[in-house]
Amino acid sequence: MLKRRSKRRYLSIKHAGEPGDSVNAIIKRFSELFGSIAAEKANIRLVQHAENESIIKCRLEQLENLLVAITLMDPPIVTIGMSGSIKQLRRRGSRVVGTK
Amino acid sequence: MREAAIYRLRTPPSGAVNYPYLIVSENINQPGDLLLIRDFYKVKKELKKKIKKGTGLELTVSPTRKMDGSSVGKWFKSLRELYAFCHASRCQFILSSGARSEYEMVSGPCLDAILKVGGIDPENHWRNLGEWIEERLSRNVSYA
Repeated sequence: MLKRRSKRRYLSIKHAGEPGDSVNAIIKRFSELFGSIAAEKANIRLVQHAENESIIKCRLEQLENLLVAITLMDPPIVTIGMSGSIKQLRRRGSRVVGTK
Repeated sequence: MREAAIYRLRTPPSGAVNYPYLIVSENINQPGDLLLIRDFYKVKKELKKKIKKGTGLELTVSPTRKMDGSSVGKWFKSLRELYAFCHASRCQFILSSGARSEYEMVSGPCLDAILKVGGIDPENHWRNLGEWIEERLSRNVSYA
């Protein structure tokens, strides 16, 4: 049987401060709202970042919860775009360059 | 003045204007097109008695940013109950960002996600809201 890779979504976000800190804050808020198990399942990771703008990824099945967690962040974080591939996200206008 | 923007005014303009607007109020005794609901449970009884059919009842996302997990849970409960109340009293449920700057703005998919987590069908909600806004704006038309 084929072992398929789980589907994921890439999100372009705009934030204040360090990208790593912002992603940790998102994971913390996600755990607070939906629980640690859901947060682990979401597998939220920082993929690329530029000044005040980053690309993060998560598992598709937890996308809605992630969007809610991002919306309820303080200080605010804005979701700019969302796609199944980084390439498509860039095409849609994300300014994030290829720095990991 | 920005195109495709609907202005939120506290009082109706005295003369004819060139833009679409809605009258927003926080006072149940003086509801305009929209009544801003800060705490649904505090005003529920009064709302039942005084609210007019067709009024928009607005809940904003911005206060939840400062809430802890359990308070956010209660907020989602109030969102569901306000939606049910609007349905029963023929009012229009409105969920908005409550943004005071561009950094607090909330995208469509994020609002959809909040509605879904709150047990509300986003497609149905936006369709009803679109119809309600059209109907309300047609009443308020007073182009100069």
